[in-house]
This record gives sequence, structure tokens and C-alpha cells, in this order.
Amino acid sequence: MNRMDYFLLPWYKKLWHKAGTGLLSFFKSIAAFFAAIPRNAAKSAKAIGRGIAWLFVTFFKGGLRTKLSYVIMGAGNLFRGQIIKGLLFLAAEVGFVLFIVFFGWEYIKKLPTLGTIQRGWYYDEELGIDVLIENGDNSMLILLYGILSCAAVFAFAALWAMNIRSAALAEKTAKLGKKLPSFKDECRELFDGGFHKTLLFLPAFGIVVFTVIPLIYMIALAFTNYDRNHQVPANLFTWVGLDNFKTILGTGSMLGETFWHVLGWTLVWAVFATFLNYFLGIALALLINRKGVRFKGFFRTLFVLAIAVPQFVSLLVMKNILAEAGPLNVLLMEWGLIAQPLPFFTDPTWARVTVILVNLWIGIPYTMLITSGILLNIPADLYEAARIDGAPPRVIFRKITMPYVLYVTAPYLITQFIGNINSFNVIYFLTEGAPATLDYYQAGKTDLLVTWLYKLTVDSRDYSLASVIGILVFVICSAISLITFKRTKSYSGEAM
Amino acid sequence: MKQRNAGAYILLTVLGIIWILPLLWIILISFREEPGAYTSYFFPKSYTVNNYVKLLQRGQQFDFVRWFFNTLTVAIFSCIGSTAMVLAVSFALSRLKFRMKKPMMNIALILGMFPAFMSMLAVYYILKGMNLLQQPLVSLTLFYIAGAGLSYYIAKGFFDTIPRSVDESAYLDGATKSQIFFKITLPLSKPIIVYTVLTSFMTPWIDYIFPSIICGTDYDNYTVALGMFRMLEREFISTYYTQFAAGAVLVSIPIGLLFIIMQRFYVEGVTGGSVKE
Amino acid sequence: MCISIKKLTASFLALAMMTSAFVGCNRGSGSESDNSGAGQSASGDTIKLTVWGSQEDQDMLTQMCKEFADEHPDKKYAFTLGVVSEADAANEILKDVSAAADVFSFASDQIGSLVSAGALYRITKNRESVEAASTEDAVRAATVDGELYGYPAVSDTYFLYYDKSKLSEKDVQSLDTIMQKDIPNTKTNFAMNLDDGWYQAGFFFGAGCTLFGEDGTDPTKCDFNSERGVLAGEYMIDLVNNAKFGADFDDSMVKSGFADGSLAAAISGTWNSKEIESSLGENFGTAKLPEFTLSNGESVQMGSMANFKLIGVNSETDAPLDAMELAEWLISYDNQKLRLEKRSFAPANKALSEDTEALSGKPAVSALTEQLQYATLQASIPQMGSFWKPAEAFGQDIIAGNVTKDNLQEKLDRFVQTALSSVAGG
Repeated sequence: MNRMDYFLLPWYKKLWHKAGTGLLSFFKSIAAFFAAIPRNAAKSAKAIGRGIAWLFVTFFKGGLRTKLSYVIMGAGNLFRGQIIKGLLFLAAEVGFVLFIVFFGWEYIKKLPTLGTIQRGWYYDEELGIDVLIENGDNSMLILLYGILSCAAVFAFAALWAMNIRSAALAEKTAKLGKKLPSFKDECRELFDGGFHKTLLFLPAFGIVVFTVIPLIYMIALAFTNYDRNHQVPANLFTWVGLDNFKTILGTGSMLGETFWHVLGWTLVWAVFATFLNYFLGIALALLINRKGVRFKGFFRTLFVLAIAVPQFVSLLVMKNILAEAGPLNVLLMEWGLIAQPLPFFTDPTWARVTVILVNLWIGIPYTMLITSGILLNIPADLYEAARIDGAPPRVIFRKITMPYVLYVTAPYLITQFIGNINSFNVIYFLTEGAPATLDYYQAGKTDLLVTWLYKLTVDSRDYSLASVIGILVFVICSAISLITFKRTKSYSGEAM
Repeated sequence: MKQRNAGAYILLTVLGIIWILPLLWIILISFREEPGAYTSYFFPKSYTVNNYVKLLQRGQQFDFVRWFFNTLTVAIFSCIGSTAMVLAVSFALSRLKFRMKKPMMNIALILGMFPAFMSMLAVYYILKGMNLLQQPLVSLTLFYIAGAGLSYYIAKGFFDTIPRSVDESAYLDGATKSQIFFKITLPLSKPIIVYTVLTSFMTPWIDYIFPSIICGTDYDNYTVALGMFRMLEREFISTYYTQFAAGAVLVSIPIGLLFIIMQRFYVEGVTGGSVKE
Repeated sequence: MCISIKKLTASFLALAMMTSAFVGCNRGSGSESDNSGAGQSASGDTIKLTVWGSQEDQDMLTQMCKEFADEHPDKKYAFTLGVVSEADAANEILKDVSAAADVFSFASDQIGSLVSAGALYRITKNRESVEAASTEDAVRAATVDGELYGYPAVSDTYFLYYDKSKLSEKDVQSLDTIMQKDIPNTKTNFAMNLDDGWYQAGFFFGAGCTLFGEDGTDPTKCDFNSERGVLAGEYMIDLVNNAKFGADFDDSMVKSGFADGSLAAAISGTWNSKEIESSLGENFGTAKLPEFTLSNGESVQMGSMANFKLIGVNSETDAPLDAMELAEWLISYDNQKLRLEKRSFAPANKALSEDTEALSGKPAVSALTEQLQYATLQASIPQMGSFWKPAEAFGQDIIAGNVTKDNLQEKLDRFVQTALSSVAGG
């Protein structure tokens, strides 16, 4: 559909369209990201090549002060009167050198081996006891702080290139006989033309330090043998290549078998949790918003209360209510309806159904809330027109209400699906994966990939294996979003 | 019509009872005098407010009041910081043109797909490297703020709906980009600011996993969620279950109210701003 | 310009601070051991020691630490107490050994993983006297590869609690008698936590199986899937199918069951004795675990797993000598007696455990002592850590009805295979 067609659409269709593009663009960008990886890689390689070439050319063509900036950062600015800028560059360089000398190099140097000196003891005559030898390596810290230091090196390289660009620019400006911008001018520029730098600096810094670096660390762990047999600080671990992936994806080992089973249940869970919540939530919203039903606000609030309570409270309460000796079983037995407690969490099938049902209890209000909002917004004249045409209510519902709701909430559905694959809280607080079974390795029948991953890290400290699962979860999620996005696109047949 | 609605009322009432009963039950337990997690009868034999009184006593091992104020402090600081982060990122990505914008947005989306707690231990050691672990509350606040920039898309969606013509006429009057942000966009964005403030205010109250890794054994620096989860551990549950219930009620009231206030914005956010009540 | 220079200085300072923070941390993590000597010699300084123990022990630990400081007037001590239960100790310590307490209390089954990760200080000082003062089993539990790594504080196993108004002293000699009895107003005749390997092993040990070889040190041996193991498994299946058996009773259910009279007998440990005693009053009864009859007609005494609470010293402590001294103090005769009196914990101290006078008046402790002779010492190898999950899974599989007499052998093989797996893939 081109732009013209879009303008010719009736206004409500425009609205649908607009709504759909909101979160749909989320998946679109992910799809685009992966599709563009080879192109982007080539592009960025070229850009980097050009940059390096430029650095060489500038070095040979530039004046002394520019040349000096290659070694002493900020020289080009410092000696041209941009004192503060120059000093800031210099300070950054000094800081970086100190950082590398006193901290970074120690770790970067050991990254390839992850440490070689195993910690040991020696007998201290004076104290009369054993004492730790001083220079034992800690593979885990080497890996983490090594990655951190590498990130610092990259950041510094960028700063260094910036310094040279700044020096070259200063030289060029001076040659043209123009006045160089003062520090104040440049600060002001940061609130206008370069405002995005000001806005994004802190958020980006925070995300790099607390999200990206830990993530790289986690991905790196998947290629090491950091498991329960190689616990720091007494033991070293090292790189093992793809061994962990082979163990998990292979079918011969129990671990591999567990992975496929847990993956299967995770998908079943995600499908049920997502679609049941979705359709029952819509049904509930329709029920509440039925014409003639009063106390709409009261009923809506009633259901919303269930999700307004923090999840760790509501889920733990649910766990207690459904426990073998919990109030529900007690009540049913008091009434004489059952003789034995119902095995909500002890029988595998019961447990799986229970978690899906409890998830309905939490999920339906969300869908209800959203659908209610949407229903109120369906343009009244749409209904009016349909009624004038003599369409019966059933047809109006099928032809107007449902398509409208479905269209607006389709992206929500996809995010929900991915959210359910990663749904940690419900399983962790409700069953902790129980009932455990001998068929699985360290997992229970209700464990999802994420909760299994949690158990592998916290309970058995098999970090490398957990990392592999983390990576696989990511691959699955992005694959699903890629596929569903393509479907949605071809289904609607629209692209703006 | 009336008769058919009677069916709807019955169904709604039954469903409403199912949905509200667990909440009523926890309130009931919070007034139960007999301790213990389980009883072999449904209704408590006798009622008391002692669970609340005991819970609110200061200076004991399980210092609920202290946890409450800890969480409140973290929540206030992190919601100020997070809101600033979210608004800055959303505005930049929605309104400003610069190189690397597309790749940055893509990377942000991808980052959200990794299971987050996998990297928690790494975060622990990074905080340790910064010598921040002695102040778990500072660490928590910092962590919540640092990650906030990633959840930009709802606010960005909102900024996208503000007509660009508003900005353009301001540019013609010689306004800088920062002036547009502070003087034009922000005043128009009250709903989304409220939404961001409320969501980031709620995070520390409901997050359990990260505090459990950061706070360790330092009971004085626990948050409410972590502390209350501790009450349910094997050695405490029979003594503290009724106090847990009382705590659950006390925490749920403010958080529940906030949620009910912000549900409208939630709907707007999820449906990409296309729905306004 | 003046302002700019100020700004500049400020940014320099900030940078310097950031760098020093990282450098400082580098020092801290890289060379902790050389501080240890320094902390020792400077006698004038306050020696800071962190101590971890369970929630219920906090008051007692505070008292013991205070007395320790009083005993050493020449030194200044500052104690910080943290709450980490013995069961969670390994998880909490291995998260970050250098941040863990200097002195901590842990359950002896964790000693293998703690030692292999290098979290425990090897005890060479006063080793002989510690070993001489403690019971033989306790020393065995605290020893790994011939080296002592823990100070034995409490000896622990489980036994039978029962309601004297429902069961007689004779009834509780046999599990079969307990189960056959029709007791009015009682839902559950006998309860335990079958999906906890610690209790579940009682049946296997009773039938004559061994875990990790005869002496519990061989990580490749476990005969729970032998003929005897199958007999034990069959008994458990029958038990679970009996409506009068409570298979999934955790502590709080046991306590509430005794309190409201729906429970006649249950397996538990000393830590619950106070509450059960107060709810049963004069009907409070304890006994060693009962005998049970295997399907081949043979009657065997139910075994149990013996565990010790050990005090460990952090390998990365700044003040190893003081930490060791404190740990030794915490397990002294007097302090074990204090534990016995305050918390009904059975001593690991040889002299105290033979002191019948001190033990009398504590029915829970005497039942425990009686049961100890049928108990099997928990293995002290890291492999022990791999036992709990499959045991839990086996228990829950039985409860869920997934284990039947037909597939029992297969399930037990799987159980053993998982418990013995050395690499995760195994």
C-alpha cells in the first residue's frame, strides 16, 4: 500500500493501521536487524577501514600539533587555545593509562587462558598455620574484569579517534583563519545540535555497564567449563569451545534429553498461557461491557485487584491455597466432597494444569483491561452504519468488534507469547518446578527453560550449561518473533 | 434483554468471587490468632490484630518497618532517575536525528530478549568492583536506573504521537533542541510521565530476584519483597506465616492503589497510544 | 576561566576517584592473603569478625561471642552476626567466598563442595585437641582427604515423634503396627517428608543399602538399585498408597498436625521438639525410628542419615588465627552444653555426649542418641551434592504414582545413575 492509498482509507482504518504499526515495528526491527547483519557487517568493516585510512592520511598530512595528538591526547586542542577541551582529553588519557596499568592489563593478559596459577597453601612458620599463596588466579574475575577492561579499551579507542578528529578540525579551522569554538560554545552545542549525545550518554553508559557487559560475560561462559567441578576460587576453568552446546543439543545425554523435554513443555505452556489468557480475557471484557450490564466499573476493578497485588504476594498465596494441606483442600474435605487432598502440585499433569490455571487468574485481568479500553474506542458510527444496513448483532460482532480487537492487540499477543516463554515468576513462586522427576536432569515437570536455568545457576552452579540455555532461549525468542512478524506482515498485506 | 443479562450477572459474580477470594483469604489469615502455615480448618478460630502489631514493632530481626522505608527510599530515587533516563532516551529516539539511531534501537530490542537474571551474578561482581556492595540499597537504585533506558518504547510511542509541526514552529522561533524538550514536549507529556514514574516506583516493591543476590545476609538492608520471602523459609514459616499475611496486606494496599491509578496509562502504552479513555 | 579551572579540577578528582576505586578493588581481590598477616600482628586494632548462623541461633551466638571477647581482654573484637541457615550456607558462601563470613556454621553434607571450591580454611592449629574432644563420627564428617576442615558443633539425625494418646510405646516399635492401627479422629498415622533424600534414605539404609561405598568416600558407588534397594522401594510405594500415610509433610505440616490432633506419629528432628512438646503436652512422645517389614518377610530397623553441624573458617578471612580461636570457642564443652540446653541440640563433643546426666530430661535428645546407633554418616565428598535432587525426584515420582513396582528397577537405576553422574552430561 502506498501513501496515497493510505490517505484514501476511511479514518477508522487509518487508526487500525496506526495502532498496528506501534508494537509491530518492534518485531519488524528485530527481523530487520538479523536480515541486515551481513550487510551491516560489511558496511561497518568498510567504515572502519575508511576510518583507519583516514587516521593514517591525517597523520601524514597534519601539522605537528595534530601529529602530537596521536600520542598526547588533546595536544591539538591544547596548543590552539581550546584549553579545557584539550585538558579533558589529556585527563582521559591519563586516567585510562592508570586504569590499564593498575587494573586492566592484569586481566586482559590472562583472558586467553583464564588464569594458570591455581590457588594453593603454604605453611607459615610465624603464624603456625597454613596461609594462602598470594598470586592465585581467579578465572571468574579474570573473565569478567577482562571483558570490562576490553570494553574500556574500545571506549578509549573511540575517544582517541574523537581527539584526532577534533585536532584535525581545529587545524583546518585555524588554517581557514576562523575562530575556534570556545568551551562554552561546545557545551552549548551539546544542548542543541548534539543534544542526542547529552541525552543518551548516561542511559547508554548504564546499559553498557549493567546490561551489555554482563551479557557478554554470560555468553562467554557458555564456551568455558565453569561448572560445579570447576568452582572458583580454588579451581581454574578454561575455554572449551562448543562442548557445552554439543552436550545440551545432543540427544544421547540425559541433559540433552531434559533440554528437549523442557523446551517442549515451555512451548506448550507459552501457547496455552498466551492464547487462553487472550481469548478468555476478551470474552470477559465483552461480558462486562455488554449492553445493559451495570456496575461495569465495579466488576472491572474487582478483576484488576487481583493483578494490582504484587505478584510475589498473590502467587505465594495461591501456592499456599492449593497446597496439599492448604485451605482449598481443607474446605473441600470439610464439605465432604473429596476424601483425599487433590494433588495440585504433586501430580505432573495436575501441576501443569494448575500452573496454567493460576496463570489465567493473573493473566485474564490484563487482557480484560486492554480489551475494555479498546472496546470503548470502537467508533460509534461504525456500529451506527452497520445497524442502518440492517446487520444483526452477531454479524456486527463478527465483522466489526472482533477484527478491531484482534488487529489492535495482535502485537500484544506476540509480546505476551515471548513474555510467557520467559515467565519466571509464575513457576518460581508457584511450584519451583515441582514435581521433580527422575526423567529430567535437575528439572521438574513444570520447569520452564528459564527456571531450569535458574536452578542450574543457583542450586548446582553449572554456570556454563546455564549460559548455553540462556543463549538458546534467546535464539528461540528471536526466531519466534521473526517468524510471527513475517506472518503478520503477509497476513495483513500491508507495509507502510 | 433483562433475562439474558441475569445470566451475565451470575457469571460475573461467580468469576468475581473466584478472583477476589484468594485476596480475601490472605486478609483473613492476617487476622488469624493461631500461628502456622496450615490449619485443618478454613476459618480461623479466633481473630487478633497482633500480627500487625508484631510486624510493625521496630528493631527486631524481621524489621518490616525498616524494610518498608528501605524500599520506599530505593523506589523514590530510582523512579526519579529512571524517569529521567526513559524520557531522555525516548525523546532522542523519537525526535532527534542522528547517525546510529536505527542500530541502537535494534540492539536495545535484542537485549531485552536475553533472560536477565542470568547476568545478575556478573552485575554483582561489577558492583563489587565499584566498592558499592557495602551499600546494597545504593546498588539496587543504581541498577534499576541503569537498566531503565531499555524500556523506552512506550514513552517513545507517546512522543511519536505529538505532532511534529509543534516542534517545527518552535525551531523557526529560534528554539534549541533542549528548549523544545524541556519547554514543549515535556509539558505535553504528563500522562506518559505519570506512567513512567509509577512503573519505576513499583519495580523495587515487586522485584525479588535481584535484591536476593545483592543484599545477601544483611537483613537491615532488605527490601520488602526479599524480607517477606525470607519469612516463608522452612525455619520461619510456622512462626511468621500470619505476619507474612499482614505484611502482604500492608504492601498490597499502596501498590494496588497505584496500579489502579495507572491502569489507564497501561492500556494506552500496550496498544501503542491508539486507545485513550 | 576561574570557574573552568574549578570544573577541570573536579573532573580530574572524579577520574582519580574512579580509577582508585578500581585499583583499590584490584588490591583487595588479588592479594587478600598478605593482609591476613598484618591483621594478626597489630594487636591494638579492632579485629572484625563476621559470624553466620541460623536465625534461631542468633541470640545464643551473640552471647557466645560476647563471652569470647570477655575471655580475651587483651584484644578488641567487633562481631557482626548474619543470618544464614546451615542448609543454605554453601549456596551463600560460594556466591562470593571473599564476601562471606569469617566464621560460619554449615551442614556437614556441604563440606565436599565447600572444600573443592576452596572456601574452607584447613585446620592445622590445635587439630589434635579438636579431634580428641569430638566424637569419632563427627571428626570423620569434618575430614576431607585426611585434612580437617570443620569444628564439629552439633550431631544431628531424625527420629520419631508420636502422640502418646494415640500410640503406645509398643506400637511405635514397628511401622507396620503404626500403619495398621485405626485411631479415632486421626487422619494420618505416620508422616514424613518422603521427597527429601535426607529422610528417604532411612528406608534404603534400613534395607542395608550404602551410599558412596561402605565408608561414604567412593563417588562411583551407590547400591540403592540393588535387590535390597528394590525391597526398600517397594515398601515406600506401598506406604504412599496407604491413605493413612502422609508422604509430603514438611515441618509446618508436622507441627500443625500434632497441634490439631490429626497426626499420630511423624519423623522429624530436634529443632521441632519445643513446639511439638508444647502442643502435645503430656502426650509428647519420642522414640528411635521403628522397624519395618520388607516384602520378603524380613523385619529391619529403619536407618537414618547422620549429619553434623560444623563451624567453618573462611579461607579468605583477614584474621585466620582469631577466626579459628573463635570457632574453637563456639564448640567448647560449655557452649555445646548451652546448645543442648537452649536448643535441644545433641552434642558432637565426646565427653558431653557420654554425659547421661546432661542428656536426661531431654526426650528428643535421648531418642536421637538412640537412633544414632542405626544412623549412617552423611558422605563428605562433593558428590554428596548430586544426591539430593535425584532423591527428591524419586520421592516426588513415587508420590505422583510414576514409580510402580513394575518400573521400580528402572527408576532406581536412573536414580543411582544421576546421583553418581560426575559430569553434568553423564
